[in-house]
Amino acid sequence: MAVNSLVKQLIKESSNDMASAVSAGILGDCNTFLDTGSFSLNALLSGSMYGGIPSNKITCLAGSESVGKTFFALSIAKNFLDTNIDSINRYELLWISNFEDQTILWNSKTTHNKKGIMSAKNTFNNPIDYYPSSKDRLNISKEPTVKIFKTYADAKTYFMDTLSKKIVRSMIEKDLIIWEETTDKLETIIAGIITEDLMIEDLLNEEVKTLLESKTEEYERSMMDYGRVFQMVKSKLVRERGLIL
Amino acid sequence: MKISRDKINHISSLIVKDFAKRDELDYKVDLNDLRLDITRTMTDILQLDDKADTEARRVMNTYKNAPREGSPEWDIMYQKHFDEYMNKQGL
Repeated sequence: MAVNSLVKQLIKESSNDMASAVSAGILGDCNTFLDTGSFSLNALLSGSMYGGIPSNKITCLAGSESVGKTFFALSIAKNFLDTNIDSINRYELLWISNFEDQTILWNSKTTHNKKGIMSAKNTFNNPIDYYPSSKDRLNISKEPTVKIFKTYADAKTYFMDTLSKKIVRSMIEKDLIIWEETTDKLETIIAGIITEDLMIEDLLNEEVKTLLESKTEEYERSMMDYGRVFQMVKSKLVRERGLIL
Repeated sequence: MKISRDKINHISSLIVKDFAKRDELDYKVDLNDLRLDITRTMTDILQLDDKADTEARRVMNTYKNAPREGSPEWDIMYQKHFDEYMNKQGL
């Protein structure tokens, strides 16, 4: 009771109406918070000592220079990582499962409780909350259905392989060619040709980049935009060499 | 992935030129017909990108509380639906 009156007094003295608006749910459904590490600050921000910054809203820190906005934000981040030691691992696992594996969240002791009771540990922002209905959540398959590539190059290679497979399959099904060896070999040949040709643009980009690095001062002196100069040089080289991009 | 029409034509010509040099490969139709078939297959596959984009946006629009376009959450969900469509098409 004494705590509640202290919180009310704090809010009153700071004239922060937003805190009570958050705690009363006026600003929308919010039962999870990022603990700031300070009870008074939590109370000022959310109307509860165990609250903090709403985890499903965008919070903007405004203030004059050198008042400690960055320090404040970093303190919140530090406190979050201190109280959720495995949060980065869990987020990575969640990312890998394309936000489909709910057990990563629900089995953890530090996830928010389903009754919506505020807790100092209610700090994990659940991306699945962005799904509109519980029906969607129940329909989420446990098996990841999406291919995940570590790099763009991996995705590109996969795409080239699929493209060459489809081309070979189409030619064989339509009986357009007679190929005496395995289809894999023909697919590799076609994938090689496509990849080699598509690499021309990457190599050209690198070449233009290198060319411009040595001329940085010149175009900066002429107040020219880097992107525009890049495109101009690239187009010139394409014309000169008769390339098709 | 986006590849221009000229580029598709160019790649199909390169493939056919390579075929012409190979002894182990024989063709039952004119080389130009073969090139046209390759072009058609490539175009069909590359057009799937546009279809996947339309489908992903359609699904995103059905969400009541969908995040705003351009936010990281929107990107993740869009990519998920985009990839799902591509997977359905065997890509």
